[in-house]
Amino acid sequence: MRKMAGDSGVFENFLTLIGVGIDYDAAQRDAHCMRPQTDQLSAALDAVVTRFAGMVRQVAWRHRLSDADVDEVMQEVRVRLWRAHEGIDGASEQIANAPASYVYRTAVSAALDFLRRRRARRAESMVELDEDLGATATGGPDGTLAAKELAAKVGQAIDMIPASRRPVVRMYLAGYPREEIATLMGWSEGKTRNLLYRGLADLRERLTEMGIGWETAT
Amino acid sequence: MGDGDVTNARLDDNRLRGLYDQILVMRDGPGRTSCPSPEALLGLVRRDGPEEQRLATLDHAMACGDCARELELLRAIEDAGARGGVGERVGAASTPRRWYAPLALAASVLIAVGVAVVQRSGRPGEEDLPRGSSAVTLLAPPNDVRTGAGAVSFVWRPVAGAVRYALEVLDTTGVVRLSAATPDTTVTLTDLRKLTPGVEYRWWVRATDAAGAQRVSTMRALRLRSE
Repeated sequence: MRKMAGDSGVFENFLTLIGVGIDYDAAQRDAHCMRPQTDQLSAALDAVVTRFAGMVRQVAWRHRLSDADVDEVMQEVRVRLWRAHEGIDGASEQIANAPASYVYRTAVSAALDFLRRRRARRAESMVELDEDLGATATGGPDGTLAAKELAAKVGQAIDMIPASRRPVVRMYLAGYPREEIATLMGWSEGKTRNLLYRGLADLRERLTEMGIGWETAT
Repeated sequence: MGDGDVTNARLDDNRLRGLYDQILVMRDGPGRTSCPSPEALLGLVRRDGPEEQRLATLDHAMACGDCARELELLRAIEDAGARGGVGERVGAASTPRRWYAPLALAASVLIAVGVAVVQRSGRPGEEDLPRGSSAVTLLAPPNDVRTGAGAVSFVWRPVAGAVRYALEVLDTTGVVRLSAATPDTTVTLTDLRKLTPGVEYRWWVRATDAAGAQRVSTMRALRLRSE
């Protein structure tokens, strides 16, 4: 403690020497005034971001989304809101009363930036993801190769489905219920069902041409 | 290994979905030069632009694991924006400006309370999990299956290095209704009394390796048939 006081004394003398004075009392008063403001702003930010993040998380759970992605975007939202309001009188009240649209717009913008950054990062780093495929397939090396070959054939068959129906088939195979497909595309239930059934019929035809049978429950 | 080995193969829906998961893993990777921009994915979520263009974006996104996850992130934020009542205030000290604002505020409070309850009763350790990873591939039952109330068998692909698997069946608020742990890749649940027929549930599998690292599956919907 003594050493620190001594050091600050030397530092003060140095500043006096170069003509810069420090009003420690004023600095302490400022710090006391600023801290409650900062705490209030932080609490207001926590409340707003936590509430919005909660809603995102609840939806994200339905969408099979990584929590880590949501966390990163919400952290960015917090930083942006903080920067936009830091040092402003009544910032905590402004944040607490911020329209949902403001938080939402900030979140969308933060998400787009997050995705751009991640793409740039991934483009720089090479990741070997194919190794896992062999590990998850069963039946030894021959079985692995056959499974890969079969997957490649199925991939080719899907690629041959007409473009108007192919995305629907992909969503179906990825496990999306029909209602979700209809909601995303803004289609009626009938149109979605029609496109899906025709797309699946196309896929069956292509697979049959390749000598691959498919018994579907759909 | 030639074409003769894959011709005459017989597929069912589960196997086809498993193969589709595999296709996504095979196509996953750092080379994303042909991926639609984040703005195009947002346009798809918001239904902006001509349908043909949105279909092309969706077609790519559903064939690209990275884009699929990005699409879901944007969908979640859009949905949350819609649920939060964009245009209304999210803070507690809002001043009603329209006749229906008190109702919207009450709805927001209900949603916030609901979210708090869900978070409090959330699955233990959920924050630590890399969800959405395709590390555990689910095989059966298929998504949104309506199955009999007698017994349900859950099957997934083995994960390299996994020493045990945990299966959870959750309700739509995220509360675990049924769970099981096994070193195998299949579990048959026979006591389904905690599930209500006709109600939608979700199930997933978490794989743990010897070092305690975890990998999880996506979620699938499950309903018991009313009998």
